[in-house]
Amino acid sequence: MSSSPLKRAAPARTPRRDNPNNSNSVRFAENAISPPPVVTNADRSARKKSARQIVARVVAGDSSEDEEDELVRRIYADSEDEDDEDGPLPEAVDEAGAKKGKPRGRKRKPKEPEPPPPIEGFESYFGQNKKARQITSNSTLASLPPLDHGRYFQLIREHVPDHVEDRLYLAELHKKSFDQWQFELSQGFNILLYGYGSKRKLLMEFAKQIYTNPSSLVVINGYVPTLTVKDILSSIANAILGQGHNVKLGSNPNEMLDNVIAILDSDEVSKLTLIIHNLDGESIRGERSQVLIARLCAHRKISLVATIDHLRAPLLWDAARASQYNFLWHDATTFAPYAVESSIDESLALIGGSKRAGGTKGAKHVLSSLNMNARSLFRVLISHQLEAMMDDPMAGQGGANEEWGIEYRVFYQKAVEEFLCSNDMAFKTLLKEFQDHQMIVSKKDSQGTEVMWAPFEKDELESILEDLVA
Amino acid sequence: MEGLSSQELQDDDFDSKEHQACYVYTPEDRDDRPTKRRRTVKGKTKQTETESVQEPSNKCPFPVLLNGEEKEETVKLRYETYCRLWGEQQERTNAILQSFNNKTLEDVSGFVKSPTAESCDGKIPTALILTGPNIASHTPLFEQLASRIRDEEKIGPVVILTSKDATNLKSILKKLIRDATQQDEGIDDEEEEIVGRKGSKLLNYDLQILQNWCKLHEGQKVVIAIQDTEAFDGTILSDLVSLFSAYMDRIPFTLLMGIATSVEIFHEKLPKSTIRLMKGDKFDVERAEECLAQIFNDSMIGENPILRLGPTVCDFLLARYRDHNQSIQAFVGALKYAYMSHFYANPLSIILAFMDNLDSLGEVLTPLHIEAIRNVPSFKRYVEQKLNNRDATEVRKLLGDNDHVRSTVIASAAGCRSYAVCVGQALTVLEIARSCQMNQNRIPRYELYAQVLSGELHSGTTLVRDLLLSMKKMNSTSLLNLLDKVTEEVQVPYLVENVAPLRERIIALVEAAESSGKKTLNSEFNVTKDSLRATAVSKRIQLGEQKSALTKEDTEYSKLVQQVHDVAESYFKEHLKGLQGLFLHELFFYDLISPHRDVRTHPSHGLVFAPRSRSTVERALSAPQDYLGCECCTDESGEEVGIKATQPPASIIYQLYLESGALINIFDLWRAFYQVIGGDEGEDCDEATAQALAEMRFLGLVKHTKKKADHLAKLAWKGL
Repeated sequence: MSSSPLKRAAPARTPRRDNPNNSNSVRFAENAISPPPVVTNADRSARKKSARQIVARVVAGDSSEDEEDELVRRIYADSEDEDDEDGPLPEAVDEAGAKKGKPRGRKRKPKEPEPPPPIEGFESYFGQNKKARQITSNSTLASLPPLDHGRYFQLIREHVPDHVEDRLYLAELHKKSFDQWQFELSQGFNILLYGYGSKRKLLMEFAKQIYTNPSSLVVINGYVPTLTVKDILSSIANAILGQGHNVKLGSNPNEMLDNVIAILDSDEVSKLTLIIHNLDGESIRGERSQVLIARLCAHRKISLVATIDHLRAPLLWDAARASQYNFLWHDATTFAPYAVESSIDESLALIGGSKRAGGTKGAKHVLSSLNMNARSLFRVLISHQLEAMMDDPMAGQGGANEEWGIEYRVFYQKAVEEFLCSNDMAFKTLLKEFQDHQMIVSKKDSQGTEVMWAPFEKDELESILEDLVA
Repeated sequence: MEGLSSQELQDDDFDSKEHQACYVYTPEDRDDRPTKRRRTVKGKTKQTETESVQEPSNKCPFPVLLNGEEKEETVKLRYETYCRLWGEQQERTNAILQSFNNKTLEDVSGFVKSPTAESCDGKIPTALILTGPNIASHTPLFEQLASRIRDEEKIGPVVILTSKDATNLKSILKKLIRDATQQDEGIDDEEEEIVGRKGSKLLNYDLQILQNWCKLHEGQKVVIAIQDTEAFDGTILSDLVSLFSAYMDRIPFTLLMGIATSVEIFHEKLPKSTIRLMKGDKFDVERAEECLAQIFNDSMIGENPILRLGPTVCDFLLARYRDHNQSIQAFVGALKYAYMSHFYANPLSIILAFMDNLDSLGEVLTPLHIEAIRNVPSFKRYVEQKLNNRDATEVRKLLGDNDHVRSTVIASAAGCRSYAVCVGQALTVLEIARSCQMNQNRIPRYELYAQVLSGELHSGTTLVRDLLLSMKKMNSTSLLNLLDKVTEEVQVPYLVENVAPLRERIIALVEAAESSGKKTLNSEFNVTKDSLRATAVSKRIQLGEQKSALTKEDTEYSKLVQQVHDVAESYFKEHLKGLQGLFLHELFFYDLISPHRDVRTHPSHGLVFAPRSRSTVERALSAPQDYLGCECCTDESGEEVGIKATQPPASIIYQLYLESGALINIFDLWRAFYQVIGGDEGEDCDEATAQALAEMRFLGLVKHTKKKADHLAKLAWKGL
């Protein structure tokens, strides 16, 4: 019984292994699910498992090399030379081979129900990144009625909010700490609010409370995608010097910051409070912006009240930055919807079919603003694409659209035939507009010919075509 | 009420400014502003309110405590006490920081001043400044250095270069030349002249400009400070150094290199040929640990502070310092926050205002304060202790007689203060005694402080017992050394009184022994150790031999050692004890534990300085009932409800998200969501899903993936 030492080594780890029949086919990754035993010699046990698995694979005659196998082999190879326990292994192969006699396929499904995978902690990461668990259904959103802006707003308006009273209660609870926050600000700390829910309203209430005189409070909406540090600095300068000041701040942000700090340093300037909604907003998330804002906020005349929402926002700041910010953190979970912060387009982009140019609505809008020739060009393209889709039963399932695309030369020929353009230059000019709006995309296929297509679903194309022809 | 509030939420009073990137805030005209104005003009009924609106600067920022019945003057008193005590503490702390800083500054500027190019045989004089790992302190340090060298010592221009400037050699030279030549631009504007001197216009990264400038400013040194050497590109740095070296005969450069790690790493970074071009010295910025120890000793262990930190907060702060930021500024900030929260939220903290004249304390304490004192946990313990002693009359008085409580408070306030001072002294004695031992592993005082307060370290602990044992084994020289040090540094009457006569007798003995030609006296307790004999009998024989080898003086000395030992033991026994038994210790040792359920082990400081923002969001989403406290989402048992239709949509989606794999099919998620909320409002959940998913994306939980149509990729796993 040469394989027995292997088995004895870890009898209790995976109970299923007790059954001699499937002991060989236990899959490596399943060990990630079972609760982690206190392994004193983890390396060794991993090696043993690897060995066992290689045996199983050899026996099963399974030649497919997937990542699991790769990992297993690596683990085994790593420790092979330094360990002298390898002796029984070749025998184990023989033994197992002799016992089973013939190759058999991999077991499809375990008989007993799988233990529920953990949904928390690091184990869940490994559990959920397994190949087997990554298999998802092929259903798409195509079967749902498309959701456009109008409908979205209508539904949002009709939507009855839940937990109204409880949310109000939470907000009231936070409002009770306003005095404390104010005191903390006065002592030279800055305040950072975190927790789930939009904190915008809460912070505006706070702004109302600490407001003393005009130009003592600057509000910055970090979630606005067009925000830049320059905007922040110039509005601070506006707040201090008044709207129509003609002080030159300079053009590059560093210079501007130096000038703003110089203004702040002068004696007659009083304290200024900054309110930044979403300090982790995408527009000011970059390191350059954060360096500048941190330097600004380290000034003793600037107080900062900011909010963060992103889970990993605290990673934005290294030790130097964090000490400049000098934050006190407060949990301000409000459960308020992020109505303002996360844009509607994003909601729709995630759920509503096409992801470019605002869906068919956007495409139609672009088309209506173009001239006849351009519209006809698009019609040519999508009717060709639709024809190709009709022939293919797989169409409408989503996925790679280029299969139904049109070759560049063919497309050009068709356009010339229809008198939409007379030369290649003009054709390219026409295409440019569509490519800018991502309504036509192109790709070189494996033979090197350029294929173009409109990245829309079948029914979307139909509706656009209807519009074009009408 | 409900209708009104729901309307309030519904009516998302459209704010035109919510999509404006940034603006100067003015309260909306329609609600607050006019009403307030009207009040100031003709409102007489709300006189007080308008006053507080008008002069917010004079308003005391502290809230009225004791259910709003605290008197105005005590609120004010609390605030003033806070300002006074923290002001004193801050002053002392700053003085310490300053002195640490000053030493470095002096050394470095002295270095910059002294060497000339000749003394370095044509090499670049270089100061390697070991700044330590706390990068937060580097920038201020270099700025101080710069201002000192430039403005106070007037040695010449200082250019601080950071790795961010060092994208390429050209840009770094540009910055260098601009900064160096423009620093005294205000005084004389010769810039134009410098550039135009040779007739042809020089490129703005030509060191010739700097050379011309140096000709105009004879005797000035150009100091280049490189703040983060490690982050610099190695080739750029070595190019820069060789360039400086080439210009050394025309421009008097001096280099300052900030090194956060070690000189060895710096050596590895640059080629030997470059290193050979530099010559200089190494400056250790005063060790951060020493600085922390001084600040800690001053703010906790010394005699000055009135408010100190309790064991939990103390442990937390030190752990944070040790394991996370190594930043003294952060430590001081946290200390300040301790002061702030103590005086902000504890109405009894006014007692600390009267430490200098405790007699007037009694008049300030209102019956409300007395009642509050009776609710303090240490009062309860105090009473229980009295009960155990069968002191019923005392207990009755404490519970019923306010005046009696007043006098007790006065007495125990003094007691608390002297306790704190004594603990500090005992720790000092302990440290000195341990430093006289051969013992290598030195635990600084600040590590022991929390242990003493929590009662973990007392005279029975191995640490103290070992110390006492080794004291017994000391020979006369080292013992006298120890006694000298202790009596010099700590003025403890108890020790001075008891030790001084013993010390004199030992001295007398030693003198007597010296006359008979013996330098040191050995203690009889020290004789057993170095035995190599195997059997018990032979050991005993050897022992006997050694004992008999002891002289009469030695025996005499041993007796004295025993006495010293006893004195020390009783001293430690008396003063090394926890604060648990102390009445009113809450007031003198800030140790507020957070009321938050999950973080009971952390003080509130933990939440404010080292929050767990990620798990907060995760918890809010996975267990919304914890925050909302609503009945609809809680089970009857109150725990572990799982997914419920009544929960907010985002929370349902999140819990489904937790269960799914790394790839998520949106349609299936939608179906699952639809099933959870059940019923026929299928249409309604479209936008709820859309919104919830957008929120998830906003929070950084999912992202769009192209792996498969209509799929999301999972980005965060709970509980990591």
